Amino acid sequence: MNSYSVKSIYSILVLVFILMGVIACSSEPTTVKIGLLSPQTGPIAQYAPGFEDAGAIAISELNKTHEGDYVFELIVADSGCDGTQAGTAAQTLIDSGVSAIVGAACSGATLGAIAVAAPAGVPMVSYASTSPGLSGADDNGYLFRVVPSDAQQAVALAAVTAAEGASNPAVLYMTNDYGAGLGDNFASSWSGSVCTQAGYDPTEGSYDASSLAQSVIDGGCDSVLLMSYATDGASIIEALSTQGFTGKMIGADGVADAKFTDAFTDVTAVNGLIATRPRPGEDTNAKTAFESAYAAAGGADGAIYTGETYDAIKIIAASIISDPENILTSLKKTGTNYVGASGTHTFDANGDVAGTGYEVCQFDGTAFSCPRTWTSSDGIK
Amino acid sequence: MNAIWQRWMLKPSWLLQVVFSVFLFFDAYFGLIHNKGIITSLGLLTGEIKWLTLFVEMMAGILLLVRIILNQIDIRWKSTVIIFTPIIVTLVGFVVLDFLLTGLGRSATLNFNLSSLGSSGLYWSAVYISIAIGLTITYKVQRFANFAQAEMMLFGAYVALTLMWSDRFFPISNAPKDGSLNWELIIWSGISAFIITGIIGLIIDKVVYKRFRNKMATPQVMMIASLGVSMVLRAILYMRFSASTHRFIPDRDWRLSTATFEIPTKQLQLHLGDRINAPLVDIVGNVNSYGFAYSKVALVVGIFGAIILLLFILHRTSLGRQMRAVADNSDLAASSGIHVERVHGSTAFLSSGISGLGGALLAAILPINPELGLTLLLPAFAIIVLGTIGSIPGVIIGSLIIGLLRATSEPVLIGAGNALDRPTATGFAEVMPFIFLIGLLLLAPRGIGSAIQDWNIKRIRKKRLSQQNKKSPNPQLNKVFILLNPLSDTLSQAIIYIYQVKQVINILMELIKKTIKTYSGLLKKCTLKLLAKIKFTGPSRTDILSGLRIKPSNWVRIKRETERGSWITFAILFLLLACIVWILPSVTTLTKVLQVARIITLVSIFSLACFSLNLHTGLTGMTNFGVIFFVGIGAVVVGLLSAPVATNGYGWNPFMATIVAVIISATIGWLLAYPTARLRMDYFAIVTIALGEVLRISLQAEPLLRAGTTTSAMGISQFSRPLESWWENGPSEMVGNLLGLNISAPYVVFLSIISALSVIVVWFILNTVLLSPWGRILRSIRDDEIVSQHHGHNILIHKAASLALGAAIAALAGALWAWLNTNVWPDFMNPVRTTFLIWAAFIVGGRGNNRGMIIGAFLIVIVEFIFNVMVVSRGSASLPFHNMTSYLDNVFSWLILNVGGIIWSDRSITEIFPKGDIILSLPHLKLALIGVVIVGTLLTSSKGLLPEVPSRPKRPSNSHSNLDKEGSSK
Repeated sequence: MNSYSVKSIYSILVLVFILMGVIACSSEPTTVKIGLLSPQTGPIAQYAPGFEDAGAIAISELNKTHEGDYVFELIVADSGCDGTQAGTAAQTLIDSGVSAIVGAACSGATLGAIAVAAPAGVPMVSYASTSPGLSGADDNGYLFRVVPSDAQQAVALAAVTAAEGASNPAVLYMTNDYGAGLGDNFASSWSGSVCTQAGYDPTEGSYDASSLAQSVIDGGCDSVLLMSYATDGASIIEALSTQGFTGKMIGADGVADAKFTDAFTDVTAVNGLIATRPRPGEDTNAKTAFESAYAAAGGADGAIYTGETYDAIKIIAASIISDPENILTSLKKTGTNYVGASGTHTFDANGDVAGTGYEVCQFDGTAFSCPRTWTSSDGIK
Repeated sequence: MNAIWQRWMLKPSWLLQVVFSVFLFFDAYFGLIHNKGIITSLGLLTGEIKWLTLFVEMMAGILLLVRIILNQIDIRWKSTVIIFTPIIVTLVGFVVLDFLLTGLGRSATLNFNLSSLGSSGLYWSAVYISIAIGLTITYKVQRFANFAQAEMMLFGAYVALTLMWSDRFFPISNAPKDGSLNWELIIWSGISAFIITGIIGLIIDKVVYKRFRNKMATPQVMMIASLGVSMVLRAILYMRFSASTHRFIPDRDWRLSTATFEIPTKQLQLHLGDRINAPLVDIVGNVNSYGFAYSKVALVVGIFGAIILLLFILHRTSLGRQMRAVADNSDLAASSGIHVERVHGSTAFLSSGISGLGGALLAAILPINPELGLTLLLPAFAIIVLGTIGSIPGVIIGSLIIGLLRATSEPVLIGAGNALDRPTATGFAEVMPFIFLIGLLLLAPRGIGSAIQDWNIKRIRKKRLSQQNKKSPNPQLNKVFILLNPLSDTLSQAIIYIYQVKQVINILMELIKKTIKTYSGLLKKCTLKLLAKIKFTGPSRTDILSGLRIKPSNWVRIKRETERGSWITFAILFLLLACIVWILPSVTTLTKVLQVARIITLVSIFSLACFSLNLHTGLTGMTNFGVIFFVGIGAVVVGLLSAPVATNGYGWNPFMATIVAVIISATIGWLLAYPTARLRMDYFAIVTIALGEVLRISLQAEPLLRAGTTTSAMGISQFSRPLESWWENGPSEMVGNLLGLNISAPYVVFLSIISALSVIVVWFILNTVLLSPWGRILRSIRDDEIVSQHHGHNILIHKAASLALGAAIAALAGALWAWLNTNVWPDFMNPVRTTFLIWAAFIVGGRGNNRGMIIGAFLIVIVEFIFNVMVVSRGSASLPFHNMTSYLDNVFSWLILNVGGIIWSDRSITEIFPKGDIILSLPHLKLALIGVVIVGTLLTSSKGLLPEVPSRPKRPSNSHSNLDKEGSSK
């Protein structure tokens, strides 16, 4: 093939591209790709469907609201709950042209991914990484998260424990970012005595619910604090009930959900459980709206951090619409008093959210309600 | 002075060891209690590290002393003492813990609820033994450690779940609580789990392992093949049943809080450390009875019942005799008329079946997901090593010990952990079996099972001797026997009756066999005829090939087993992979640069890890399943040392930290050789994989291994990376311009340069070392350890050196890994994502060839990227592979609905895919693919893409050039 024909082919190609560009500009809505790092493999793979379902709901709502102007696409990649895999996944997401990334769930994965995303100039909003290690990460300001660090919920839990009249609680927590952070912070904000503390790995087959329950009873504890996810929390509560434990049971946002009862086989055991969770915005029904949409879409059972995932995507989309050229500054602007399904979010200088207090919920029988709230200024009301 | 020294050297070596161990003990004792002694006086260590070191020192002193006693003890008592070693090790642990707490002035209360311990112990041993018994039978008869055994258990669990979701049984599991137990579903699922899992095991045996047997493959090769099989099976379960957890509910009443056996109990309190007016042991009588859940009882009874049946089969039936004959000597068994293949088949059926039964019963207790398999497999490995691989009494005793240990470790760790400000210590309960196993192997390298066997042989011998010596029976005893006569009469009658029944059964069995034979013969004839017809009509392979004018013999021109051929293949494959990197999609120049830099860094990290594995396994012949252990040491030490001082780190320069990490890792590698180098191949593999898990759990549970944040949150982060500020202030802008970026080049570009340079340097060093006589000695150890020993080589030293060098290389990989991820989190040590991938690269690349390691690592990383592109392509129609993934989804949903739908109910599909659209999980497809590639490589060439170039002594020059010519031009 001589150089002439090569040149002509090139010029034709260029023409075609220009033409396509013209067509795209004139009629097509803008396509915006948003990446989602979901832990499809690894230790918390069972929660991946919930994150993805929540993401899909946010995207379909966005596409409905902005029909004609924007087409939002959710690009899901597997973070594997591991820094290496998450880094590679983030790279692939960036290679496929995402404007921003939502994720990851595990803190180690988030740190591995931001090491890729920050140099590429792609902001990341994590929906479930609660580790304090993220606040000081070397991220050039590209890392945000919509979950508050555990420190505050631990204070709320301590207040609730005291209000329930417990004096000698046992603290059972998972040895992952979420559980260990809550457990340590509780121990430092709780002024009374702690009967016994035990960490456990929530992977099935790694912990023995009945031994943990037995240790609570053997220690003569009058109450139990449970920093767990739904499945392991249900196993431990059932074991406590089997061993005849009658004291108070207090949980954190991992179990503070009406659907928590689905994780039980003997649902009567849940009776009397008190649990805290982030308080939704004041005069809004964003939370109930999201929950009913999630249920209507047939979202996965026993899910965690779905509201946060939904909010993260909505915040990103709103910032892209307001300023597509400079998402980073726009994200900070959007993320100020943003009223979402998981609470009211305001990013601070580290990209963290402080939260607006917690709801104190309880199970009476199997009925779930949240009659009280806790805020750092007013305490329990 | 000299004379005294001379006299000392003449003393037997064990005496020196005794002195050393007693010194260790007393040094640690004075250090702990009186704050005096060598370690304390040196003043290098402070705070928690100091007492941890003293703890380890005292433990080592006592264990060394026990080991010397075991070695020196009279042979008559030896096996008895070995059987009691578990108790000794436990006691030693308690004593040292007590010293530690006394020294620190703290007190710990350990609460033991006796019934809870007993029943939990039984429960855990039942869980573990349902895998361990299968492992041990497979090992006994087929002689390899089967990694896929845990997946058999999971298959059983999912058979139970599928049955529960069937239209016939779902009403039972969904029925409301009515206070009466329903047995129907659990019994049916137990039986069908046994049979179906057994059949699956049989099929796998015939499809995979039979071929290996026919090739006379070594146990090592079969073990790795089983790793591949386990990957495929786990991936299938993930794809079909998703990663979410499911509970098997035989009947809602099974899990009521009242559905328990109430066992009266006593609470035992152990006060350790600073006992103020408290006795060492205290019994609290007034405690509530312990409720042992029905479902757990079902598991314990079901599993141990099945094992008793199995023992009956092994010892009382002809199948059992045949199995034992094949286990002892399969050639001899074949020559005496035993159908060896059939015995292998029944072994596979039985071992898988029992694990499946265990899985079905376990599903009624734990929420099941496919991740469970690996969690339970490793303790099961610990059990079979503890009980001497292949010994059935050993495995039963081993599982009871490990089960009890597992149940005891939780109260102990909670009590001690709270006293030592380590509430997370409970996390170690999971790895206590491994820690215990490693301690025990130091004492009894052959495990308990062999001691039991020795003891049994001695007992029988003694019995025979005493029977011979017996002159006349005791007259008084005779009277008793006369009284017992009627009983013995009835017994003998009964035996005759049983024998008759047995005969009738035999006749029936013969009849059934004959019918099956005739029918299968007919079927065979029919299929043969059919096949013949097909063959006749279809064109043969040679026809097709000649039609295409391709001659298969000329396809491969390069002889890969020559030095030059190997280089050429390497270059071709490397360029091919580099081309794939080139065409991987990306958006801008910046993202492409980031992508390529990441690939280079990852390939370098994996290559270094593969070099390490190749040195250990490919060249020295030690099956190392703990590559990630050494990599992890590198990453953890580098991260800890170079994290800021304010946040629990040490604030070192990253280069210094790397050097120290490499030295520490090498030292650990060297020391590891002493207790393990004489272990059998499979013991070594299991010890190394256990070490990796212990380190991973330590990262989760040990506060000293956390740095980088102000609170005690998990993981190590915010450590400095080498020359980061130099790079950002200096050459990054220039490199950025050079690469055509508008901004300065990101740090990962520099990291990729460092990584690539390290690979080249390490590769060069390794090649030089391996070409030296030492390299040949290593190969000779691999090929035949005994011959090599006869040639006068000190095997232990060479193995230790090889372990140390490999560990150092792995630690370097770990440092690079930590810098790439900018953090060290426990999950990064997951063996599925690290060790097994490195093994896959090692097998595919070519064992014994460092060029192959690079190709293998490159391939693994590229596969990772391609699958990621495929996963991502689901999100948008504009992305590449989008049509292909939707096509794959369609095929998958056809398989689930139309093919599988024949077997399972609609409910079992909607439970997993609630939204109706059936989506193939691509990350798990990748896992399956890697598994298939491992098995396929081992089955076809077994040498990998770049086989080892045999090192030949130099020949006279003319023949040498001939050889070269052959290599290049043929």
